[in-house]
Amino acid sequence: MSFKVISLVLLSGGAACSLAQADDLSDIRAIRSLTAEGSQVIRLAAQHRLTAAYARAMKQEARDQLVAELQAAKSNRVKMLAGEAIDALDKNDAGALGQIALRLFAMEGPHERAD
Amino acid sequence: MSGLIEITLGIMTAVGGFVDISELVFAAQAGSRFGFALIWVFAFSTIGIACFGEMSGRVATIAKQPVFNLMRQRLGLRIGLPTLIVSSVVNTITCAAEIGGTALVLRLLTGWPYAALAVLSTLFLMAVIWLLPFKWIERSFGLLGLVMISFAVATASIHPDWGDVASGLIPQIPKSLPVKDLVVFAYFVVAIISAVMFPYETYFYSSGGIEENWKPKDLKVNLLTTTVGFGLGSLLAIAILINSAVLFRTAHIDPQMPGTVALQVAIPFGATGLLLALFGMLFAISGAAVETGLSTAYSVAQFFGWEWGRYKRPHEAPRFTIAWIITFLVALAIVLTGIEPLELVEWSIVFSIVVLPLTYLPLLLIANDRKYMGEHINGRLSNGIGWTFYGMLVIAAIAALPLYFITSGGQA
Repeated sequence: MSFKVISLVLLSGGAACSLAQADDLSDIRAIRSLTAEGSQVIRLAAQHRLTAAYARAMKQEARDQLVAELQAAKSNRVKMLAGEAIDALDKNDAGALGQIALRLFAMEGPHERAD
Repeated sequence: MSGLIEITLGIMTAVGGFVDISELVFAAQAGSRFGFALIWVFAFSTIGIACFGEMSGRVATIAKQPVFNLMRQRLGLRIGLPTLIVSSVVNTITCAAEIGGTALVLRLLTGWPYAALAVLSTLFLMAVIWLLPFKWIERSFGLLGLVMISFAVATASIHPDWGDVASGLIPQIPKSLPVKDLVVFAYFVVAIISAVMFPYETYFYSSGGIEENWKPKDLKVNLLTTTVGFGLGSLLAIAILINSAVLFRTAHIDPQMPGTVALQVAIPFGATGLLLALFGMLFAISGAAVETGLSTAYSVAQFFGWEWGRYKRPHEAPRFTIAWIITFLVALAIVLTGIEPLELVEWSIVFSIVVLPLTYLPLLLIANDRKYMGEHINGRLSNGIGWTFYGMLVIAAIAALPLYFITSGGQA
């Protein structure tokens, strides 16, 4: 076990290079999740399964974080998607948010299941 | 009969007080990122914290020595003082994360402004510490935190594949993951170990033993609290991970907002479930804020040999009282700068694991010293588990910072 952990730490040195190349990957992940979280909140609120205060605060929080991502993002592609997500959030459009989350998920590259 | 009640209350308090904002965040993110593959890390770390918690309680009972007293004695001023400084910084950052988390949950409940809620909750928590005796502080937050059981009820109601869940208990490093995700996986392993074995937990627990004047007859309560209580508490964290793997992973959610975790109970049980989850989170996180704030004051006072303890009136232990007040005010100031609680959690997790080996070394040494412990020195089992975990913690401490930077705090 310890050997594997040490191996991973050594491996991480090499991985740092590839991660640096994909410098907007963490932005895409964050926007994808915020978009999916927003979609879920809007969908559940429409079914009256959430309190109004919670739904309002979560949507505002998601919007604030998406705006921060939009301002901090370096690539135009990420900026455009963050902008689209903010528009969909403002329109309370759970479906559009879900679609944007799917597009972002696909952009992240291969996702092998860990479990 | 009163002994049985005492044991039951001790266990229930440990269960309700086990989960804090870092466990909430990392359990939820671990489940959505890696399915059930990180359950074993929670189970494994719980054995570690149960072992060191029991040891710290036993040392506090028999040798009447809290952790930072031991640190000064065993490590000396040259190593002890930097450890104290780093621990206090980590505790204060953690306290800020918990205060921020408390304010966030209150905002989700009331819709009031975050900054105002941070100020109000800090003042409320300080008033609670000022007014209530130690036992009441520990019990009230721990018992109210039992509302977190709603997450475990949600787990049962969403019917996960229990075979897959059980397979998560087997230590594993997923072979199918790309290299970049393997590095993130390694970061999560280190972060979960740190979140479960936070150093403030042993500072608070052992100081509590001295506050409550434990006697050798209380060692049974100590053993049951740390094994059964922490074990059941850990199941709540694992329940959050399972819920996340089932409900969030398929929806492409890697919770970026602490409030998202409450959806795990809202999805099966609607608005009532949501409120239960939020109240459970509120009590668990605010309880942890109290523990971290007091832990800083305990550490500093014990290290410098000041009068300390909540069994004394505030003016009878003035420097201890000032220490916890300052800790809360600094933590509040950090929150009011606008740093996100999740960012604070990341930092506290990374620096905690760096401090952990220095926290547990003097504990292991004195628990093996017959001069202090008499017949209650460590047995083979305690020593075996203790030194094995110690080795793991040293490796995790070395790996923590590089992994944090390479993975951008697990986001990359």
